Amino acid sequence: MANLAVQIDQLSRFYKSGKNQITALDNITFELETGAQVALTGPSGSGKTTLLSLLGALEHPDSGQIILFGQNINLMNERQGADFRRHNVGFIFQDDALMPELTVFENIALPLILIKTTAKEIERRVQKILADLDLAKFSQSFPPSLSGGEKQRVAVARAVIHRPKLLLADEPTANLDRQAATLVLDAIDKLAVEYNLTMIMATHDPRVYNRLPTRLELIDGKLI
Amino acid sequence: MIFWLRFALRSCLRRRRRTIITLAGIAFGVATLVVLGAIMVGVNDTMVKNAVAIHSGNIVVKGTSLPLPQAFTRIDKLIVELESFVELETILPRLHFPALITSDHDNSPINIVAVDPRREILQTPVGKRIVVGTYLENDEGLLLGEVAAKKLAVKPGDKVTLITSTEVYEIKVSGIFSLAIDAFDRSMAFIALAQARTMLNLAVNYEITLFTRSQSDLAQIAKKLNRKLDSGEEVHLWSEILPEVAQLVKLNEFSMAIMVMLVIIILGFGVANALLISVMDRYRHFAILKAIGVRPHELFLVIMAEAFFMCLVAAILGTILGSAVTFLWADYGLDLSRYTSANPHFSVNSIIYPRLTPTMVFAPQMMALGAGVLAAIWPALVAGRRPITQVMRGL
Repeated sequence: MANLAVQIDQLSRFYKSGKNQITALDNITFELETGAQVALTGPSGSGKTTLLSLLGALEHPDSGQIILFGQNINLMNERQGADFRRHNVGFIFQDDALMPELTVFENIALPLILIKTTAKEIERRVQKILADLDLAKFSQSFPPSLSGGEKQRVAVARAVIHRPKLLLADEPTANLDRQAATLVLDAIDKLAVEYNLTMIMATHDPRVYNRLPTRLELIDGKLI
Repeated sequence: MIFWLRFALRSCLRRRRRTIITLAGIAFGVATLVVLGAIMVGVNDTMVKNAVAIHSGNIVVKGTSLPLPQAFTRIDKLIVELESFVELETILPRLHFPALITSDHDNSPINIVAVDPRREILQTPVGKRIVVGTYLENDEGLLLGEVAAKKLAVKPGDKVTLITSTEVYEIKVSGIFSLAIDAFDRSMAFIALAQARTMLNLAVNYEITLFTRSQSDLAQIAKKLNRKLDSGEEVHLWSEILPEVAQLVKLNEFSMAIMVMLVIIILGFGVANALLISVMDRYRHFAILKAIGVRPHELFLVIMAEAFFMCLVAAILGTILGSAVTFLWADYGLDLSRYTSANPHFSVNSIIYPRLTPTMVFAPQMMALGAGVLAAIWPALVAGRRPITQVMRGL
């Protein structure tokens, strides 16, 4: 019990579309241990992004409970949710998720700035991760000058720089070619192991979910 | 905090096209207001200058009624004292008394003013608006307004009788003037002070009419003057003597204030629009920031800071531009004689010289800055309040 990172109990989420109610998640229950690396698979519209949003405290479920690392995130207001994410969650999105007004260094440093890390420590951590992911030469570049794969590796670095407990990735390689995708997945694997992250990665690409030890599949909002 | 300010500044710099267009709009608006404000000040200056130049001066020191010899003694003493005031351009001693002028044809109540013709002709328009005859040549004769002269059916060389409260005098009409201001041409007549000194023997009101150098602080001069005056003597500013002109100036300022407000409101909508579009463009980025853990008030701060930076730079540029245009224009002036030629006698000067005042330089700047920041509140709230998940699904 002490090692449980994620406890989902009878989780449901509905959306309204005009007069119709769409069931995005239907009574889902599962648990994950700390350090688990899970592929969340399923076709488009199966509820993958909704589940990631709920796990990231970006929205509240209509019923059920989400306990992350012992904290019930259903009970959090917007500010508490933001604070929880700052410290505990890292996000990787499909693409275009870097701030164009910040340099690569600043983009990666952003989560550390939010948790008020000292400048010296920021410098140390960011330089290390830049070197680890072979991004050091782009330190002072702005995102628009990077390739898709390079941007996504920067996004990976940003997602883990503050050592979150939970890494949520939403189709991180969907828009990349095979070579770039491999580099990004290698980076995620490397950092997830190094930082002992619990990771849930939404994907419908077999090359991606076959790399991960655990797989959860969603169909029409139900876990099968 | 500093990070978010830097973020906002970078955002302005990176979205160059949006920034330049917004900045240009605000700067142009501020520059326009500065120039229009300077023109308004110039119009007021010209209006006041023309109005006071007719007769009243910028400041009048009014004395009580004294027998003629004491009035002259007091005037002479006052002139000596006032000549030490560097702010004063012209000092015009005057005596005045009411009289009934009669001719063979009719009579007319008139305010007689005894003046120093050599000083007066340099400053007031009466001596330059002689229709027939001469202007108090050799300090002799009576100068009548055209309307009064018509009523009395007199011409230069004719004699008229002045009936005062205590004395009756005969005097020859030396000239007839016309300022094309009916009340003035009907009720004012002039004699020379030198003639008054030898001819009259009655109690008169004395006054010193003062013309100040341009941009002088009249209230300050009045304060200094008050310290030099005897009891019973009073200082009056032009605004007390010509309240209708003062009212016109106020009206002009009020109209300008309304125009400034309208332009500022339009600027505000422009800023709100530009920022809202910019926020909508960046919904995804704001959602990502929120997902990372940025709080809505930090996004609010970013947008507000962007608005502040843009409006500050635009307001400064607009002020510099407006001031430069006004500065260049101030030398040449704006010639309105085509539009004021209906009354050539009245218009002492038809050229408007735009003038910058601290209020008209800084008010548009401050108001544009304030309006811009206020206008940013709504887009800033929108940036912070948009649900993350709505945007996430579009990622």
